[in-house]
Parts: sequence; C-alpha cells; structure tokens
Amino acid sequence: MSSWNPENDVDLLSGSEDEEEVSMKRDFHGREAILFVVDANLQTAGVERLLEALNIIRTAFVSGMLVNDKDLIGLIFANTKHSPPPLEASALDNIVMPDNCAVFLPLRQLTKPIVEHYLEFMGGVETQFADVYGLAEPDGCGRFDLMIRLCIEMLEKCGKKLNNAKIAYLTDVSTPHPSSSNHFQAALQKASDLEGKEFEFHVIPMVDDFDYEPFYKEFITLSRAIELDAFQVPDAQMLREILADRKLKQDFLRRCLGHFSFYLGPNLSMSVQYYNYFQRRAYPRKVQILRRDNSVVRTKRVITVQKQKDDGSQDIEHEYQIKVTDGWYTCSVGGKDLRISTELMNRVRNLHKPQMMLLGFKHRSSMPEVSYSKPSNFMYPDDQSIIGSKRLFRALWERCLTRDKIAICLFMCKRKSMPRYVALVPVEAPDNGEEKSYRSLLCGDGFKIVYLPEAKHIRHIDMQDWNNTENTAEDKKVEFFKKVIKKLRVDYQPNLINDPSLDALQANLLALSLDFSTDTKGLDNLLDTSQLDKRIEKLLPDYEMFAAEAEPPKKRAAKSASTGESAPKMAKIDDEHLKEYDFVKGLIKDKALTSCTATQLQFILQHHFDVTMPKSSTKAKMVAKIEELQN
Amino acid sequence: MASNKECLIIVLDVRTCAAEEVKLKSAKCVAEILKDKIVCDRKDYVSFVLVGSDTNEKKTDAASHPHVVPFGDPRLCSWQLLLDFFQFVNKTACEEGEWLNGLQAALDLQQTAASFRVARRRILLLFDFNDFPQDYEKFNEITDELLTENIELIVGTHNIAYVDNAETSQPQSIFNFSRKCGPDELKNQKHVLSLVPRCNATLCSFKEALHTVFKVTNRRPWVWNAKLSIGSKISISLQGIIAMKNQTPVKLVKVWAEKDEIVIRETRHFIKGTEVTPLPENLITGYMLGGTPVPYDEAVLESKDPHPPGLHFFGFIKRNAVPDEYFCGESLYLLVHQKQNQSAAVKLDALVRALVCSDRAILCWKIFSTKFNRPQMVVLLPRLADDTHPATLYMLEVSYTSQHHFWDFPALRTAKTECSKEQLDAIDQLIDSTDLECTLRDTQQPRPWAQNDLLPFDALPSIFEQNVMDVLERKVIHNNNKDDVALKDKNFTDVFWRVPEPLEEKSKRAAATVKKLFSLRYSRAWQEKLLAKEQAANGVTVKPEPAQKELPMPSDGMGLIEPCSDFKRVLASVCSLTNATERDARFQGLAADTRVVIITLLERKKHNIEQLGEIITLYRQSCIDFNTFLEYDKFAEELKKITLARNCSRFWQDVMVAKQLGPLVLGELTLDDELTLKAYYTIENWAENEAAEMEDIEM
Repeated sequence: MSSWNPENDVDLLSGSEDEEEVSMKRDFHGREAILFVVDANLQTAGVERLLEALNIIRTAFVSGMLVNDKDLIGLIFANTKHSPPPLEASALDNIVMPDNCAVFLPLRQLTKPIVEHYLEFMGGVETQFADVYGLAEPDGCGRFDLMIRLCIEMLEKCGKKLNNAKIAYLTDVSTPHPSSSNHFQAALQKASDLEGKEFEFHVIPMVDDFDYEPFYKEFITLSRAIELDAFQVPDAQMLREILADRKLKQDFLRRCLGHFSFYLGPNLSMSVQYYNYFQRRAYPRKVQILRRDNSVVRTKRVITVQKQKDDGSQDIEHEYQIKVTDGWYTCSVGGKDLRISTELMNRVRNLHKPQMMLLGFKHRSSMPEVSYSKPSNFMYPDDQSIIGSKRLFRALWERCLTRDKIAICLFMCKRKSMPRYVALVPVEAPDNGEEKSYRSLLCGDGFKIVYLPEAKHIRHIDMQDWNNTENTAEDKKVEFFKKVIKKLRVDYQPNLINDPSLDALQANLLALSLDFSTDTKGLDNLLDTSQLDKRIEKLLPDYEMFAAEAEPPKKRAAKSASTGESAPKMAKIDDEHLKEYDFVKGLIKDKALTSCTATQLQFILQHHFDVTMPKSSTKAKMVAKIEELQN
Repeated sequence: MASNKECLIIVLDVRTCAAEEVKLKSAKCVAEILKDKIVCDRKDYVSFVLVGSDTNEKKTDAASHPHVVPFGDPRLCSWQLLLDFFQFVNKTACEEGEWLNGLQAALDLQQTAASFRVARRRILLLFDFNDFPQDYEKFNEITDELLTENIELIVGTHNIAYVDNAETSQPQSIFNFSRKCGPDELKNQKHVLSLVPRCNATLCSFKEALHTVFKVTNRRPWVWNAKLSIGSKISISLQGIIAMKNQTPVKLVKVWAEKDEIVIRETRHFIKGTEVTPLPENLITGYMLGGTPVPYDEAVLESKDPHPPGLHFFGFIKRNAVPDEYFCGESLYLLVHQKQNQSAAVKLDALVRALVCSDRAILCWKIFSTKFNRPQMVVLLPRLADDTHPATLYMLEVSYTSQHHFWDFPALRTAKTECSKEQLDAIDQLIDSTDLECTLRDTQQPRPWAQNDLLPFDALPSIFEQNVMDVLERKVIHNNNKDDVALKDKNFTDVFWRVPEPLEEKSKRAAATVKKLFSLRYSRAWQEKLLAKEQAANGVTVKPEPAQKELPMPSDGMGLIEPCSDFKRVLASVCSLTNATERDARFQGLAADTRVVIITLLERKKHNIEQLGEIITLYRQSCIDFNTFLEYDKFAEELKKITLARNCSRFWQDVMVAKQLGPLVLGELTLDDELTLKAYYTIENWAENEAAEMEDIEM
C-alpha cells in the first residue's frame, strides 16, 4: 500500500478560497452537453464549406475527449432530404423524427469507437453526403421549429442529468424561412421554449458576412431573455475558431461563479454576479488502470485512528475511520493543550456574510502599476433578484468610466470564503468591428474585480545588498538591447501559445488510442534557440562589450561529517569492551559511565555484578548502583 | 539558512499621570503584536519594560532605574506570555517614571538578547509625553547608543498628526497642537521630535505604530536563482524574489488523534464499488480519453531528460499585450540581478531601460528547476532603477488559451437602462462624497492618518487572520469553553464592513439620495424557481420525512373483501423498509397480488365500480412512486383486453376514462403522448348488449 504525506491533506486554513473548486463541484450535479447541428445548405456553396464545418466538429470531438471526458456530445444534420438513422438506431426509439433532419450521433459520452466512426464518415463526405443526406427540397428549407424540437427532445431524453446544454448550429443561411411566412413565426416561438428549458442556442456562421438582422438577432435575444438592443454582433471567424476548441461564447446567465448583493450604502443594494476569465488548467483525467483488463480502479485514501491496549499486548482497544477534514487544531497555553475544533474554525469563516460593500472611490491612476494577488474576476448586473439593478449598475459603471474612477470594496464571494478588499475597475466591450483581436473576446461591459493584496501579502525587501552605483549601464549598452528587441519582436496572440506539457500529453494519448499523429511542436522545439540566434546574428559581436559574468563566490558549504568537526565529541563506547571488567573499572574511575546507554548500563550490572534492576530505572540510578557495587 | 528573527522590546507607560487612552491603546497594541507572532508562529523574542511602576514593593533590580520594571529576559511568544503580560501590565503604578530610563532598560535587555543571534533589534516605546518633567541628561548618550548598536526605535503616542513634508511631499509626523501645552510638555515633545533625526526613530500614532512593527523589511530574502537566456549567446544571471504572495501566514498545528492513538493512512482501491487489493505492479496509470481509459506509461512515452531550468526567451511583446485578466498563479516575483554579479547588473539595467524605451515586455518560458520541470509561460515587465531598487523585472504567470472563457455579455447601454440626469448626478454625488483621496489632498491641515488616503493599498488588513487571532485570544482568556461568547461579538466583523469614519455621514446621505432616485425592487420569483428546481431534483430520491421505523409485514396479504385498506396497509409496511432492494422486491410481490385481485374483481359478474376505481388508482399511484411504469402500462393493456372481452363499457367509462387510469406518462405530455392516450381510452366497437350489462352492475 502506498502511503501519502500528511502535508498533502486538505487544510481548511489555506484552502476553500478557490471559487474554481466550487464551480467544479457544481458540475457533479449534471453533465455538460453540446449538440452540433450542421445545416445541409452548407454543401450548396461547394463541399469545402461543409467540410470546414465538419472539421471544426472533428477538432471539437478530439479536444472534448481530451479535456472533459464526461461531456455528452451529439450531431444532427438539418435541412436534409433523407433521414438515414444513426449507427445506434435504437437510440431514436422514443424520439419523434421530423422530416428533413438526420441524427448522426445521439448525445453520448465520447469514446474511441465513436470518434473513429466519425472520422470514417468524414473520409467519405465528399462523395457520399449528397446521396446519403441530400438537401431538403425544393429550397433547402426544412422546418426550423421542428429541428429545434428535435434538439430539445434529444437533450431531454439523453438519459443523463444535464447541467449545461448547448445547441451549436453551423450554417451559412441568415434566415431559415422567409420573414412573412408562418414558419418564420413558428421558428421564433421556439426561442421561448429554449429559454424556458435553459438550453443555450448558438449560431456559428460559416461565412464572415453573416447577417444577424433578419432572424437570428431576435431568435437569440429571445432565447436568452435579453433585450433586443443589448445584442452584440459577434465576429464569425472568431466564433468558428473558438468552437474548434469546443468553446462557445458562454451565456452570462447560467455560468456565473455566484450571485451576491452589492451594497452602495445602508439599505441600498443591487444584485450582481461574477465570473472568471479563465478556468483551472484542465488536464485529461488521470486514473489507475488494472494492467490485465484495462478496468479503471478508483482509489480512496483512508485514515484510521487506532488505540492499542495499555497492557503492552498488540490488542486494539478501539479503531475508527476519520475524514481528511476531521481532527482539530491545537495550541498550547502554559503547558496545557487547547483544542480548537474544525467546527470553530468553520464558524470563524462564517462570521461574515457573503456580499460586497462599497468603501469608497479612488482615481484609476492610484492603482499600483504592477500588483497581483490572485486572478481577477468580472462583475455584471443581475436583474433577477433585485429588479432595477441593471440601471443602477449602468449608472455607476458609466460615471466611473467617464470620470476614471475605481471603486474600492470589501468582498466576500461566498460562505466560508475569505473576505477580500477589491478594486472595481470599469471595463467596456470594444466597438464592434474596430478591434478584431482576442481582446474583444475578453470582456463585455461591466466591472473587473481586481483583488488587492493584503498588507501581509506584500514582502518588503531591502535591496541595499543589490544596489550599487556601478549598476547603471552606459547608453551604448542600452542601444544594443534596443536593437535586439527590434529584431526579436513578436505579436502576442493567446492562441499561439499552448501549454507544451499538455500538448505533448495529448499528442501521445491520441497517438496511442486513435493512431493520430499531431504536429505539435514539443517544448524542445520551443526552446530551440537557433532561430533566435540567427535573427540577432549580426548584433552578437557587440555583445562582447558586456563583461563576462563572474560567478560570485559560493557560500561556504555546510561542514561535512567526514572532517570530524561535527562528529560527536565523545567516542562511542563499544559493546565488546564492556565485557572486560578492567575497561568498566576505567569508566567508573573516569566518571564516564554516563556516556553509556541505558541498555549498556543494564548489561554491566548483569554481566559484572549479577544484578538486575527494573527496566524503568533511570540512568542516574544505575550509575549510582554500579559505583556502589564497585566500592 | 538565513535567520529572520527579531528581538523586540516594548516599553510601556503605566504612570498614573499618563492618559488612560494611552495606557489602554498601548496594552491593546502589545496584545495585537503578540497575537500576530503567536498565530503566525514567528520565532521572535519579545520582552517588556514598564515605566511608572511603584518599585517600592519590589526592591531587587530597581536600583539602576527608579520606577522602571523589566519583565525579564526576552522570550518566544506564546499564549502564556500574553496572559502573563496582561498581569504584568497591571502592576501597581506611581506618578513618576522616566522614558529614557525605560529605553535604557530596554537596551540592557537587547544586550542579553544578543546571544540569540537575531537579525533585527527593535524597541517600541509607547508613551504619553505629557506635562510632567523628564530628565534629559542622558538623552544624547542613549540616542547615540541606539544609533551605534543599530537598534531601531519606534515611538508611538496618541497626539500625533501628519502633514506632507514640503520638500519630499512624504508624510511627516508632528504633535497635534490642538490644545494648550505646558512648558514641560513642549520640552518633552521637542526631544521626542529630535529622536527622528538623531537616531532614525519612527514617530507615529498607535495605529501606525502597529503597521510599522508589522512591516519588516528583509535584507536576505529567499531567492530563486535563474538565468535568463535570449538565444544561446545572451544570458543574464538573475535572482527571483517573491514580491507578493497570496498566502496566509496563520500557522496552527493540526492534530488527528489523541496522543495515545495511532494514525494509519492507507490508499484503498475499488473497481465499480467493490474493494480490490491489486499488487502495485498490476496497476498502471492512465488517462481517460472520453469514456475510454488509455494506459499511459510516462517513463516510456516522455523524454527522460528534464528541461534545463531557467527563463527561456520567447519574444518581445508590446508591454500591455498580455491583458492582466490573464495573469494567473499565486505570486508576483521580482527578478533582480544576481547579488554581487556586476556584469549581470549592468546587462539587466541595459535590458530594462531598452524595454522601457521601446515599450516592450518579455514573454518567456519559466522552468523552475529540474524537479519542478513543467514549463510555464511568464511575462516579464520592466521596472527602472530608482533610489531604493536596481533595475528589475516583474514576473507574472500567464494562463493558456485553452483555459480561457469567452463570455457573451449583452451591452449595458440599452433603452431599458437609460438614466436621467438627476440619477447620474446622484451617482456623481456618491462618488464625490465617498472619495478616499481627493478631499484630503486639497488641504494642508494636519490629519490623523499617515497617508493621503483613507484606505492605502499597502495597508489592507487580513480579515480572516484577524478573526482567527481574536477568537483564539478569547478562547485562551476564557479558558477554553466559551466558543459562543467569542463568536457572538459582532465587533469582529463590523469593524471591517463600514465606510471609513470621516466619510461615513456624507456617504450615507449620498446613498440615500441614490436610493430615492432609483427604483429597486426585490423579486422572490427567481429564488422560488431555483428552490422548486432543487426540490424537484432532490424530491424523487430523498423523501422529506425522516426515515420511519420499519413496520412489521402484515401476515395477511391482499384479500378480496377490503382490497383498498389491505393494499394501503401492506404498502405502508413495504415503504417503511430501509433496504432499497428488499423494498423493491416486496413491492413487486404486492403488485402481483394486487393485479390478481383487480382482475378477479373485474371478472366478477357484478362490479363494485367505486372499489375498483379506488384500488386501481392506488396501484397506479404506487407504480409512479416505485418507478415501475412499464409494468403498469402492460397491466393497463391487460385491463383493456378484459374490458373488451367482457364488454364492461360502464367500468371503462366510469373508472378508466373518468379517473384517467391509462398508461403512465413521464414528465410533460407531448403531442405523441396525447395521441397514444387518446387511442387507449377510445373503444369504438362495443358489443351490442349494453342493456344486459347494466344488470351486472351493482349500484
């Protein structure tokens, strides 16, 4: 049995502040599901467009398998002529199949065979799609409302509890039906069904100049219960890119970390919610597997407390199991141990109410240039529990924005967390079209919650040992580095850089199970300096002007035992010598008996004086006895 | 290992002539210092000196300094020391006492502490410099000693105010001249003020004194040695120092069991809930790829050579290219050149200045060590050298794109959230009246706090730690058994949840105006919806009522005479079973009996419509509770067959159709469900002899 280090046990004191932890736990209440719907109209503009959509789904499948192994994924084709059944035809037994729709994959947790089946299908798409699925006749318009009904039914009857269900519709047609038709109205009405069932609907335009106006703007705002003028037109290309990562712009209503009240004064509060900008690094789930049949072995740590009987036997008086969170803290007061139960610590944590309170305002420039305590969050109003919050929030946000103010608040995000001082920095969604960078994905209108470091988190360092008037470099040396900088400039794009260890692991896993070879550059490639060297080749001779770095003298190493300096002062007494009475006499004469161990003293008493003293005798007593017997 | 412990001697004024405020605040101040050192498990040495003690009752060591009583040799902090201090400070006091004598005694104690080899020696003097004469004969001698011995002096008292120094615009402490001072008081104050230039003493208010004691600068911090390499040729030796870390210093000892008990920790293995004891060599680690476990032998698949530790350059990016929203990790590092490495210092200075000039930052891979070898993307932000710092780089970890969320927030500026001018004015008023800095900057009046800011960024308290300390203090003082008393003290929390006092009134008024202008209404609908959802989710499996005692199974099962009450009785007993499997099995038995009874009753010549209705309704309901939908659906079909065969149209209409006892439907009715049900209930080709059947029915 492997054992583990008690240091690793959950400690209430340091833990529990992590919101991620809580939101991760929430996921146990149900699985995430994402249902892809591919519009068969994509084939009309040439099979490439369809292939592009299928490729996005392929990467989403693969990244889905690698990251969130429990998620359910499904795939439907809409506006098809034929409705061939999926491989697992019985999955549709309880589902009413409308015309012009075809289920390729009912909602399933992805496995190796499913992905293989999909890859096989993709291989033949070019030649077979038109025959097998075709396009709805005459105009490629299947009933949109029936398609949505099918999606809802599939999500509801998937057999698993869902926590977060999304429908991603990949299309290039900006309206499913002519705006005057009855079908158009019927389609719009389905939006409220989605809202009621809390299923998210996303349209992923496969063309860049996609017009949301005729249909989707209204449909989406209805399905999310937001106002029509609050709709922000997303960038189509960006949507496709992030979908390949199996991500969608997340619905703000359902995925927040928590709701709380923000008090601007006594009796004046608004309801708000907060979000994180990124999640904990998600590695594939590590498991223990039995070699013989690949079955997954779950491990559980068990702490057992045992009391053995006092009588010296190995019998156990009592034994019980405890949880990692059991036990108590102790502190000693005048020799007595004071017991502090974890319950008391929990109550200390619960002294404060989860809320946010305004303490005052400062100018934006008063924020230290670089200060970091923990990742920031984002705050957005929530008009549900206090109606009118959104307007008050907007007023505060707008005034802070125009006047360059930040609000300083005390914030307790949820029960048992730590109250923290935060600065609310107003941020604004960039104007559409103006900036098409990753930053436009970063934020909408709202406040950024910046956690301020507590006084004790800041370490004050006296730099006098580093300060030296000769530290300052001459201007030509600065010029050298300016040239180097010019040569080695890069544009930061978050999606250019991936976690290399995760990449390597995923590539290995895919190679192992699906025989994929991914073209990930290993870190060794990333650390390869030859490219860099080449770009600054011409500058390098100038580098000579810097003096070679002399390693400062090493600190004196700890004294090793072999030099004898830390060796024990008194030589150990050898048991063999004790058998000689003369040696023992010498010890007695030199008053050196105290350097013997208790066992050795017992041995002397038995061997030379034939006396046995009780085991509990102290060394002093035994020495006295020996001396007495000698005399 | 560089030791970072200090020896702190606190000199307290206990003279009867000293203001009560000073005495109370000093004792509180000392308690806070001790609590902090205990809870954070610091290995500092502390002792106290009282000035103004009635030394007549204790004549031993009073000879050198009259009315001055030292506590004893400096010692480590413990709760016992805190309790002892509370007793010590309440010794009988007298009128007289000289603070310089107190300092002298503190210096003596520092001498005895020299053997502890502490890194820092400090004296905290908490004194009321009031209108009582003091002897300043030894003033120069003592201040010189402080200076030569490099002992830091912090002086705290109550009537301190701050103004901004005209030259440095740094806050400077002065005595508050709001009231008339006597000649002796002026003389005392003059000497105290001259402590600042004479021996670099810090003169401050009590609150600031506490900050100053806690704010320790470290000359020999822990460093992470690393080389920043740009390409293969350029490299700079750096040292990383933690500048900020989100970490609580509270250290409490965790205990798992009584002293005479043994704690055994082991890992157990389960396959689908069944415990197994595999040999370690039969287990292999792997990863879940969707639903498929993939064995993964790290030793074989991953390269064995660790990556070289250090900072590996990736590129120069625009300084603000990485948004601070993407910063992750727990700490902020400051990178400085390797100590005593002059060449590295010059290179770093050149690099930092070049970076600032071209408004760039560095993106690079951080590999902490060969042991912690996982590479992490970091951004290095330049910081120019100044009087206190050489040129440095801040190092922050950056999250990867696969972690990022993309939210879809609707715009805030919509017609619905449009605000009127009064509303915006009210918000402006709120901002102005709760301004933490501007109102102070305009005036040159002395202020009671040091910085030009009511909530300075570098002095935010750690609330949780303060709560832990206070609760523990209460527990220690009340000897362990009054958890509730300690926790009910609202002061523990209320002190933090309030606007700084000088702004309180103004901000309250402004908030009231805002409240008047914005209509805000609580809505319970949302919570109710959530609650209903939760209940629905939990309701199926968990019955709200507590588990009842198991009822004995009635020996007589279902009979034909009173089937309904029989059924209820047996069902109650079945429901009371706690073993789920047994309960289901018993229900199966009961259901089978019931079906036989119902069919028997139905096959009788005369139908008791009421009874049949009741028993079928009961059975149908129990099928919902026990989740045996299919069984009932089959039974419903059987009933229909019997009805058709025996032509019991009365039974069909009055029982099955009227009470809607058809097949069970899960959840909301869909169109298809409705069609199926309709088909079930409709029987079109009844046999002719309705009249004959009428006679069969017992009314």
